Amino acid sequence: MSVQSILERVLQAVDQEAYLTPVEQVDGRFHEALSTVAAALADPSKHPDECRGLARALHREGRLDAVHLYSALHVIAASPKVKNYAEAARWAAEQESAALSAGGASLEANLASVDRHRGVLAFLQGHYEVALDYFARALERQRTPENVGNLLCALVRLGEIDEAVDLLSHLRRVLPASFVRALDERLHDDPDLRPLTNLERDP
Amino acid sequence: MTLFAPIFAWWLALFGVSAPDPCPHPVFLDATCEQAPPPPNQGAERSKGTPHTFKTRGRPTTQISNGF
Repeated sequence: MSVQSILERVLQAVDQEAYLTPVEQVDGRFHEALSTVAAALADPSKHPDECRGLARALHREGRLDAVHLYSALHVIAASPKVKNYAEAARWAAEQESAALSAGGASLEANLASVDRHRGVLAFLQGHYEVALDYFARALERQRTPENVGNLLCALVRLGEIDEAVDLLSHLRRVLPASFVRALDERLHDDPDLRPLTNLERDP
Repeated sequence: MTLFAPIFAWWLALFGVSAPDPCPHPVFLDATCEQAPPPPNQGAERSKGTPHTFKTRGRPTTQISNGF
């Protein structure tokens, strides 16, 4: 095995580690199925086609609805394993269409997922202002630590450190303690965001 | 002096000689030759909009959350 291929594997692992696919915010009915897909995607021995096949099988079994099938296919396409952003964008559009068709009480959460996916695509391609716009929409529709974390990531990438620190300090004052704890976990785990907590303490 | 200066400049121009620099040396500087003072040091302020790089991985990868 060449040094180059070993290096590629190491870098792939680093990229995979930097691409988070949480399921906590997902509708409880699909939580288990999407956890299975996330685990397959994180497994270096699994080919992306296996992950796609798994998501489609779960949909056939009725364990994933169309919205979450397309969401899963987007997450797979945008992952460091595939990096096919055009395909990922098409799945996000399918997901939006499916969400609008389904409607109901989950509409806002489903559209927040679409906004997040589009923001991630913009972020991964270096368009941080576009990403910021999508992440802000996602946060308006669904207040989750994940959406706040992504918003902070975009602000940091744009060099708007003061705004990121101000936003973080404000959220700490107004959000419930459980939300702030989850946000702190995200901040601690993310090397981009960790310094913000130090700047909050020592402005 | 004020009358002589333009006549002297015209006389020099007539012979193809440009007028002397009105402020040839700091010792001749008067109010009209002074330059505006340099602006206060703005470099000490943090320049907004400059991408901040906290990363130390040495790779242009970044952590982002793409939850389902």
